[in-house]
Amino acid sequence: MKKKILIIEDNPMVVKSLEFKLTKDGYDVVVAEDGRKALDILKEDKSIRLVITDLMLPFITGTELIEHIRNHIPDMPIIVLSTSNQEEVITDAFMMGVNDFITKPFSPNELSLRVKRTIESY
Amino acid sequence: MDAQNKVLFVGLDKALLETFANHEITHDCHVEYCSDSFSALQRLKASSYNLVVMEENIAPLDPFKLMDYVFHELQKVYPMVIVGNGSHEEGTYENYTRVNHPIDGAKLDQLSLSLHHANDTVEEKLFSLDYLNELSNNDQDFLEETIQLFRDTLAVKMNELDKAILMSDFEEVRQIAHNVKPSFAMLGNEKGKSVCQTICYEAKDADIPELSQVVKNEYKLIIKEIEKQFPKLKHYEKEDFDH
Repeated sequence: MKKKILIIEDNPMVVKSLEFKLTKDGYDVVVAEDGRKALDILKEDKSIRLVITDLMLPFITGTELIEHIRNHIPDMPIIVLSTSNQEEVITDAFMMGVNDFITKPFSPNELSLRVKRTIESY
Repeated sequence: MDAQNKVLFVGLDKALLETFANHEITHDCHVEYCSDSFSALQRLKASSYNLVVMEENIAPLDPFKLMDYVFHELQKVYPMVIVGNGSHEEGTYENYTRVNHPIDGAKLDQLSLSLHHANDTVEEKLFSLDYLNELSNNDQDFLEETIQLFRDTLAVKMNELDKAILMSDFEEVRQIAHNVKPSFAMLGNEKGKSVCQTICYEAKDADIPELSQVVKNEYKLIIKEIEKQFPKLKHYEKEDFDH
């Protein structure tokens, strides 16, 4: 059975690229374009195995979303995908308990490796 | 060579570095040296270069891994020259030039050409499909759909940008710039990406209208070029972006 990944991202080009690459890699992909929809999906779909999220999102920020996931689904692995490569942003993300941090636009091979590694470690 | 040209030389062969640094073509260049790719990475993070010359056997990252990291993580593009030991043919490839030992005057001239070529072309490049092709393994449908997305979704965002500027809502402008920055990056447009970055993290409110205009102009220029290459796009989209 394919493992399911939830992508939370509001740039359609990035979403399309992630969907394309991760589907090719053999995953099922679900997309939410904002944090509120992501919470609804996580509430209803218990088969999600990994969350990939931007930090700057409409309605609920990525930070709030990550805090919510850590409080309610502590075992859910999270990869942050952000345009920022500023050290403090990366450090803050890891302090919140995310498992990995990838900069947009992502390197396709690196994404595959990091997703595989993160999912397999859970 | 222009006096401001900066060259980073990465490798262990100091004799080669000296030959390179003493050659007349590098007379007015500022040549920096480091022996390993980790140190090179630190320098590339901290500064910009016009040319990066690397020996093939550098470690811990080989030349391709180093440049891949620089491109994807630092989001910088540098022209590069690999100095090899003869295991691969010399020549100019898509993203780099390869020369093999021994390095003579003619080959140094070739390095000079790489530098001039880079200075001529890097800033003129409006868009590139390299990233999307790499990602999709040259899937034409994916490519066209993604280009279409760029055109259509950014048209909406550019209109939102106008409205936010009119309202002097600079936080909204910063959010829009944050949202569209990866779109410019995915099409290899350094100027759009870098101006969006400035709007997001550095620009004062007073500078934002002018910077936003640069982003909009860049978008229009890219679309003009894209429509030449993908004429079918014109038939899909009814709305025009007329600002």
